[in-house]
Amino acid sequence: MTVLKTKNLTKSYGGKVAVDNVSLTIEQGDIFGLIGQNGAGKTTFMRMITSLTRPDSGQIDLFGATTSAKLTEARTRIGAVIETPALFHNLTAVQNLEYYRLQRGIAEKSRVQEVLEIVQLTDTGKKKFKNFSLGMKQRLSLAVAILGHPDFLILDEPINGLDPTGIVETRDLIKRLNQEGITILISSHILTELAQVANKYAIIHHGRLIKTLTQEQLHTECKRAMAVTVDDAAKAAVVLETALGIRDYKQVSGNELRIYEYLHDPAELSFQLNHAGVRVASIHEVGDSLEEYYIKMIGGNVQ
Amino acid sequence: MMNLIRADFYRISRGWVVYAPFAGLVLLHAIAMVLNSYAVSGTMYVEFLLGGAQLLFTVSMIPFVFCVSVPIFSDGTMKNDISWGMSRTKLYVSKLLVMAMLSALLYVFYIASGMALATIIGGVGDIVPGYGMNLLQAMGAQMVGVLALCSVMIFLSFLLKKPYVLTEALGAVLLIPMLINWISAIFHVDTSWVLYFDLMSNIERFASFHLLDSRAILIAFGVVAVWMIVPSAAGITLLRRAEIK
Repeated sequence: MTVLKTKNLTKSYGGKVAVDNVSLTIEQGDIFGLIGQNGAGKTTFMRMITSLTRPDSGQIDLFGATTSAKLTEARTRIGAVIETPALFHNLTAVQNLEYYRLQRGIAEKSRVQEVLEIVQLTDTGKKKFKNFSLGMKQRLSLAVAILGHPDFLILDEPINGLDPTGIVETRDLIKRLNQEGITILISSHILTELAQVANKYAIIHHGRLIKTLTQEQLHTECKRAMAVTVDDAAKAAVVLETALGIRDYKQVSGNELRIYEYLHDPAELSFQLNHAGVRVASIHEVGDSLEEYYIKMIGGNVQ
Repeated sequence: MMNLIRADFYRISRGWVVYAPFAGLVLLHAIAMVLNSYAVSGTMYVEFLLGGAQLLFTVSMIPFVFCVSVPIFSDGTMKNDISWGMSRTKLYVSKLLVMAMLSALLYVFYIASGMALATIIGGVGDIVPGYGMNLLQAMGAQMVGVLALCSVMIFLSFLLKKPYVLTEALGAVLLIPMLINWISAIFHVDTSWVLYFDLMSNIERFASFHLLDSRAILIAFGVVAVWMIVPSAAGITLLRRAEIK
């Protein structure tokens, strides 16, 4: 089932395009990671989905709703933390949650305590939100977002300001919520973190969607391998199988092979190929982390 | 809508600001008693409250705006409401209704507590035939004016957002008729007609509701209705078009 589908979503501010014709689809059960530099358009995209900003053009399909009225109704199935945590400064954690429980018509009073336990903020007592650390504020905002049992969670940089323990806890929480059936759209500029939770990715650069890929595709693209350029790929394949017993390899272009085993000894690999009369033009290791892959995708233009 | 109003009352009741106007009015009554050497009767004092002291009442409404609608801007919580799927119109109207309920309650408290205190200290005073009906008419008409004032205050809070700018704007709205009077007195210009279009002047006019003829009542209510509808319509339009920060 499709949770969110956008078509050519566009938003400009004063002639500068913040989001440029972004079309993407998020399926139920996904943890969809939005990757991009600051100002790439991730937050603006999320703001349009949550109706904080109106798109200049394009369509949003949320749980099958496309009209303005239906979209408003569909958004009650969303939990969102967009940009900085914003809750009532003079209320405590419990009071803030109680306010949103009443406002959203959530009958179960025990839900307040439940979400406080989930985000591990049960011991804040009479401390007011304004006196919370940034990490505590992030966690309380997340508690408000999940208060109404949402089907779709939108989290904009949820680990900003968290200490290492908080980051691990948030990561585990996101995975747990997803296992409970919540679809998640998450943005972060800490790509190593995103790589550990998301199962699909979209790379946004200068407002444009450059690429979407699944975790499997990312692994394939980023998998460590030996890239070998030879004069005769077919002959080289025979040598790999017979002389070295290599099975995990593929021909990526006319004369280039990508070999996923035997990475520990490229000299032996080269020797065996030469010995069999295959001329090796180049041999080098390839493969990226999500971070390296992202930088490659945006053309190394990291400002 | 009921959920929004319930939640707002829950939130507002956790702070002290909402209680300040009530305490302020009790203080106002006490000061008035002292200044009049405890010689003012219940009926006399109510006459004062309905008429000349109206500005003090409207000033005491200002803290309500600061606890009803200002925090959604100053604390930035509006994005939680909108992103959750709350309609902007519903959000605006809910704030207006909470403001109206609080102000109506304050108005009744203003008259009732003043009357009770003055009666205890100075006795009931002269009660002419039809006094009760006249009082209820005046209070009812002034209440409509107070609701229009709520509409103006909520609109200004959504327009200006920042508490200190809002304070200045609200002060200006309340003081405009007084300023017009002063300026016209200095330059010897008759500007009394302007006061027919001023909300505060009309609220004060309603104090002698039983003395007004039908035409005057109609004009006054017409002006009040404009003050009630136009800011609310403008506020809703503004919010529907706004980027939520």
